[in-house]
Amino acid sequence: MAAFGIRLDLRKTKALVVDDNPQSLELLSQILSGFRLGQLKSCLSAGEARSLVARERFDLILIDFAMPGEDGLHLARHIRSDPSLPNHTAPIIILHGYTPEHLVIQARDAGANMIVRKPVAPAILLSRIEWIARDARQFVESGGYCGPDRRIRTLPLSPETPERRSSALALVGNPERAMSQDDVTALFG
Amino acid sequence: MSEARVYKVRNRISEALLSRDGPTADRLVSDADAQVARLATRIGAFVTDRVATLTAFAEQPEEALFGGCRTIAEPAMNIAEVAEAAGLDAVGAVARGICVMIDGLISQGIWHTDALRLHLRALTLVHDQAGQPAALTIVEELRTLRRSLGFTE
Repeated sequence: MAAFGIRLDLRKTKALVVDDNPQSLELLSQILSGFRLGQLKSCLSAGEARSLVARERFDLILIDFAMPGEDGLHLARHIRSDPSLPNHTAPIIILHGYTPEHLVIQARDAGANMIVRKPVAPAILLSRIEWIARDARQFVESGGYCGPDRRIRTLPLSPETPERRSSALALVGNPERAMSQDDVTALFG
Repeated sequence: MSEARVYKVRNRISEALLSRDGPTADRLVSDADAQVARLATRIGAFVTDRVATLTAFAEQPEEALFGGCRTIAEPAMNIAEVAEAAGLDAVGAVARGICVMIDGLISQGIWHTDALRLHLRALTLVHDQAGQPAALTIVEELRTLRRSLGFTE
């Protein structure tokens, strides 16, 4: 949750909301209006959104994951794919009715900054916007990915790494011995 | 091997945090909550309409359910996306369960006609008993059922 005492002035923020469900679109628009966003544009399809993001610059883009035709992930990838687009690095929040791990990973790999479950509760959405406002991650462009740096932490090798490696090699070096799931898991640990 | 390009981008909304005279987060949330409350009646009517659409599928034969699963997923997702905003949490939860089962077919290859039919019938039940403890019990039982069938959510 956003810290309740914190002050957030979104009057200069221009956002785009893309959602094929008119009720959900209205809900999001009303929430953002309650947050006193300076300017809000909305559309019901990825096709409409494509033409908007090609000619206008947004500070925040919210996209529904599940839309008929072109879905939200395709749209996010499109926005990230072309450096000449004015929204190439704009913060993107993907919204979906449920958020199992595999969908979260898909959204992250499409270059989204965040995925939020619908229906969106105002307190949750504001806390996510605050999180993005504080986000200092760098941007990464590589072969198949464009978006915020997906590395959330870098850890040094732990001191016992050589011992663990040798025990793993010992297991591999004894092919007659059937490996248990614990043995296999240890190789990746 | 291609190299990754890593660079700093200007955070477009970081300036929102620099305000000294802007509204507090609790004020923004309460204003947004009030806006949402104004939509409750309209969303409730929308959910009722979508529940009727889905309930009709419950009596369809297995082939029709299987063949029309994407047609079922759309109104189910429509409900899951907004029902809680109208206080219809249990209806939203059952609709979300329907989406999970159809997504399970697409991503995991799991299909279970009776479980899907049970969810479709349960929608009417929980809609009629909104806010009642019985509705929450149905939601929990359906969640347990999905878990036992291997659906991940």
